[in-house]
Amino acid sequence: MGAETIAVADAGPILHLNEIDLIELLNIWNQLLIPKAVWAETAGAQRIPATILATLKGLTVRQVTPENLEQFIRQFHLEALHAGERECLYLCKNEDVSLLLTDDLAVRRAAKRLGIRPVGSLGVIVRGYRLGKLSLLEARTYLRALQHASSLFVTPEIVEIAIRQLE
Amino acid sequence: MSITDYLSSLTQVTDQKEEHILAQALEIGLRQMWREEMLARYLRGDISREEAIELVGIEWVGLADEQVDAVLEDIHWALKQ
Repeated sequence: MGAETIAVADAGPILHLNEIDLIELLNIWNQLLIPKAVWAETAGAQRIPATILATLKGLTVRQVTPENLEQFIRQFHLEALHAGERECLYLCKNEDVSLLLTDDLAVRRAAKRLGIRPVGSLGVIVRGYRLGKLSLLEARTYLRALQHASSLFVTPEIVEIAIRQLE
Repeated sequence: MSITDYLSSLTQVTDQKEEHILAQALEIGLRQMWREEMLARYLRGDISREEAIELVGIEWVGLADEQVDAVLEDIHWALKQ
């Protein structure tokens, strides 16, 4: 099974997948872009060791030009989002990346308005299963771990809905 | 911060007695636990959407619906070729 091509990642999936020891699954993307603000919210804030992020072979940190970002925020009314979330959406539009990894519902809504496909940590695990990187048992185990062993807010019922879709 | 730290800090910042803050905390906690249990029953299909709305309000049911939609969208995308 092959790899995906390119995605932009918000802090949520990076942190949540790391919390369940599955960050290497992000290697299914040949290129994974993160803006500087997401780097600051993750490795910069010591919420994940930089050495772990360095294991992502396709990871590239992008600096966003403040002037262009401000204009983008105003144009698409993104004032309510955090810095990393805004920069992720900007990167997607500016570099023509159609996939954004995010676990935030407000960012999902904004991404869809901008024609970007949002995918959360649960979706990444299921994609890993679909690509043959995880067995069904592993996918089920990691999906449940997201609920009880990560800081992602997801209820057991929603995880079970996801698992039923796999079976 | 520990629970004791939160309590100590809240008594100082709000200038209220510990008993009052603990009573409020209990009420807020129970309301949240009730809401989560009702939403769980709704998501398991044990109660209807209308019942859930009556019990916890349309905003919370709407949020639960949005979370489910997000997961289903993700899975639909993830399982494609």
